[in-house]
Amino acid sequence: MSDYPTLFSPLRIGPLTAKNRVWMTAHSTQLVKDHNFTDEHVHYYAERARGGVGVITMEAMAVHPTTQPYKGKIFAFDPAVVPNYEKLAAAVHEHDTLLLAQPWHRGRETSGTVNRLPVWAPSSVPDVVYREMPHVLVDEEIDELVNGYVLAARHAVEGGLDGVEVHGLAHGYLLGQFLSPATNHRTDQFGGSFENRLRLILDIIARTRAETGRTKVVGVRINGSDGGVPGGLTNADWAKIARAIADTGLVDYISVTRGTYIERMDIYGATPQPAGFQVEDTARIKAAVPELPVVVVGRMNTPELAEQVLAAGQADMVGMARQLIADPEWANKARDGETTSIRPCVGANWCMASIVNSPLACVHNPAVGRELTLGVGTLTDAPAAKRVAVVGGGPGGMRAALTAAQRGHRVTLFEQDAELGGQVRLIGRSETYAEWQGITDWLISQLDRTDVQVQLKHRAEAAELLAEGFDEVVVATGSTPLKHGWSSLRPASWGDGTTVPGADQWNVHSVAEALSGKAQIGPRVFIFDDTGARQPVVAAEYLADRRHEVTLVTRLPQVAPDLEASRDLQATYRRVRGKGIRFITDHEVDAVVEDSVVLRDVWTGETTTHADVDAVVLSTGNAADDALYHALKGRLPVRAIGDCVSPRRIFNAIWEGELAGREI
Amino acid sequence: MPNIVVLVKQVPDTYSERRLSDSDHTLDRDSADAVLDEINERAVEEALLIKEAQGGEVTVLSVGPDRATEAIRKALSMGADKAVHVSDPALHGSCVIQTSKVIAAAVGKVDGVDLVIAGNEATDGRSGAVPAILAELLGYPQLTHARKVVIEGTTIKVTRETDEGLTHLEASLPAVVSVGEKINEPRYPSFKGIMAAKKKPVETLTVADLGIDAGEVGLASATSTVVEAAPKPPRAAGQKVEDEGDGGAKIAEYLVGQKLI
Ligand SMILES: Cc1cc2nc3c(=O)[nH]c(=O)nc-3n(C[C@H](O)[C@H](O)[C@H](O)COP(=O)(O)O)c2cc1C
Ligand code: SF4
Repeated sequence: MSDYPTLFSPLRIGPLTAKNRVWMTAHSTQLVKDHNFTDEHVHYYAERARGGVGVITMEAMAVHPTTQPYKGKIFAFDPAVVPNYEKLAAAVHEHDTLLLAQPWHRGRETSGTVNRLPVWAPSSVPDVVYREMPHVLVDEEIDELVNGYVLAARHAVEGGLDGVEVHGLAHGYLLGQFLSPATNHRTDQFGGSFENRLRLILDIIARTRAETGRTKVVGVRINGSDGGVPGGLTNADWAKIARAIADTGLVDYISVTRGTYIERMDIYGATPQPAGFQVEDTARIKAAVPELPVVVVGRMNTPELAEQVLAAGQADMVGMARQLIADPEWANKARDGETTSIRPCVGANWCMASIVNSPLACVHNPAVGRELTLGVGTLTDAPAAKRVAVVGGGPGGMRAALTAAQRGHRVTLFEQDAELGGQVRLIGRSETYAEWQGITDWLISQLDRTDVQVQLKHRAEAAELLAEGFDEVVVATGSTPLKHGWSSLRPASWGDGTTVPGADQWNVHSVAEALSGKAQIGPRVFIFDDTGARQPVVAAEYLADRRHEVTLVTRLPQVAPDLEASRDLQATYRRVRGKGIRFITDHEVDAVVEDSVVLRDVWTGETTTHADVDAVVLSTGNAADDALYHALKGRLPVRAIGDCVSPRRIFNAIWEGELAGREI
Repeated sequence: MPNIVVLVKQVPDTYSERRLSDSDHTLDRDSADAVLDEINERAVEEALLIKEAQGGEVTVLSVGPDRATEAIRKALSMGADKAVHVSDPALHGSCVIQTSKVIAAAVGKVDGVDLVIAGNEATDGRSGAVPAILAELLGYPQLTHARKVVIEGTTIKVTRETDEGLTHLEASLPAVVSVGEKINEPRYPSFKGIMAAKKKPVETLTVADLGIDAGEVGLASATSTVVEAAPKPPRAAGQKVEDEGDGGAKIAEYLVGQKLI
């Protein structure tokens, strides 16, 4: 019997049965082409079904052309989706997994840039993120909207899916905008009283059920709470909404999530949002609708937590998006007692960030969106076992060593430090980002299962590698922080060996030095950032947590704008500002003079001097450590991966490590 | 205006792996990063707080090898005024009693001492006995495990915290105080503090300078020796008690079995 008996017990969802309690909740993959599914989609969903998931709700799909924030959205109202539904259903049903579509409309939480159409909403209140003034829906448009949901349901049935999950109530989307008195200021039959605000939703549910009949599943995704939105819907409000929806008798399950765009960390909370952060709210919804299966979501990452919540009756199904992005085989591994091989979702939200410009990716699962070529079971044995040296034990080097060893090569991994992990280990020293160490901890735990020889405190040199007779070398030697202090507004200074005056003082450190805990850093610290990335914020918080008074200076108009893509910018600002960290934007460092720092306004050139700055931390990028690569090139088959090619992100290091491991 | 002596010690960083040397079971001081013991930083901080409120002078005193200068520099960077460093190869392997004798003699070299502040226990040796032995040798009252120190004229009041609870102690100066973890949060040396520390006087003494015969100290004549050393064993799995309504009784049964109650 499984260690998780409830998790692996079946459950009836309306007319159908889920084989277990694992529900993959909807998430955008951006694998879309021409508003329709692609073969990559089929492989993506089939991989998760094969991995043991009981029910899959596919990514949200548009019920109307007015809901199109960017190009990659499927048009559920277009009959062109039907043949693809058939393909998807065939691939997923093979594994006894239920497959649902998720029709939705974003309302004001979108932009009209791509589709050249006005943004729709019940009332004229702009969204905090898109800030576009919406068009107030008139009756005919409301009919069009309802019709979009009807068409979506019809196509789902025609395409052989198991049903639909009505979306748009949760996450502050259009139906949620109707529900919430904060965003619905109408005085007609759709505004004012609870009944009026609910009217459109009950109509959509009734018309959807009429379309699907009783042989298919119809569910609804709601919020457990809108989070801290002033005047927004509370947990008690949502329990009342859930009750009213259940009372229609038309719905087979309720999936509970949280939040609106005012605080997106309520929706897909990144670290340090804790595991199971929505359980309590969801349990109260469950209590309001005891007769319906209820799905809980929100960093439900371990089978232990899943089993506990299910066994306690706080929910009936465990929903997860990111843990199944990170490891599609989560369910099978949990069922088979292979929990130590589950690649954990560390909450870095690279998945969120990736879909802004490209298809979905995961920081440490290189196969996401490339299941056909890189997915489960695609690793082939090497034609001949070679002796491979991997130099550098950061995430990229470890990934290359692991993949090469799994293919049968005899691998030696050299690391000059006393520990594996590279820069991830430094980031993990911050309490807030400690979970990120799961990336390297997991790689280390998997390396332990192979016969890779790990040589720590060993800086491998070219001569030695040549003498040892390795057949191939993967160079993953990483990068070294730059400490010249110049911003990228001064490209000429980057090449002439100079530093900002005083940047060579002993009290000027790099982010890596600050995070190592070894630099002598006085009470008042200025951190200067030119990258816009997360690292300066990590260092700032690490130092503030240790009672330093920190000022974060950036030459950009905003601190760490990269965090916007991973959606944790607001939450991070709230947290770090709450810890007393001050921000100064639009400035670069003009000079460091003992314990004074002179800053220059990048627009006006005006300088200001800040006294009693005990230490300066520079975040101005890294230089590739490519000497070993150049020393070996032409003398032996050698590949460079990760930062030693050009200093980038954890994702790139692991991605290139995986490819190198497969190519050898 | 109390004259304060703070005892400081260089210890291996608790983050790094610490080992005893195989040859004589003394601490292998090369194998780990050395830092100013955190509890000493609190002792220095307390001395500085008293000085900032009431004036006086803070002298740091360290008995240890040459590397201890780093710990001394840190204390001076925090704001101590001067230092005495007793460094002598003869001291290698000294026990707590020998060390305390050396410290007592060195305290005697500082003029008009009103207060000696120490950490209650170093993170390396962990015998925790030096402050008490030192007080005996100096003939001063000892107020150990302080979580609060107040000086009023020639009186010192201390809130002592141990596992048994809080005790309020009062004595007249001069006295020896040892401070606990909760006494304060030590400051970081500022840029100016670090620069100024480079110019502060450090008096280096040998045991002979203190009028102590080299034969009285060191491993050979120590009153205690480490005969064997083993790394801490990994923690054994705990025993799980399932509560089936009788959890309390089961726990009591276990504790009785372990002769704990
Ligand atoms: C990249 C990404 C895209 C998402 N897109 C959708 C979506 O289309 N529809 C939806 O209802 N929820 C969406 N979500 C929310 C997830 O379904 C889920 O509620 C949330 O990520 C919290 O669960 P987790 O901690 O298991 O990831 C998305 C989440 C992520 C990370
Ligand atoms: S990118 Fe990070 S948050 Fe997203 S699935 Fe992967 S590990 Fe989880």
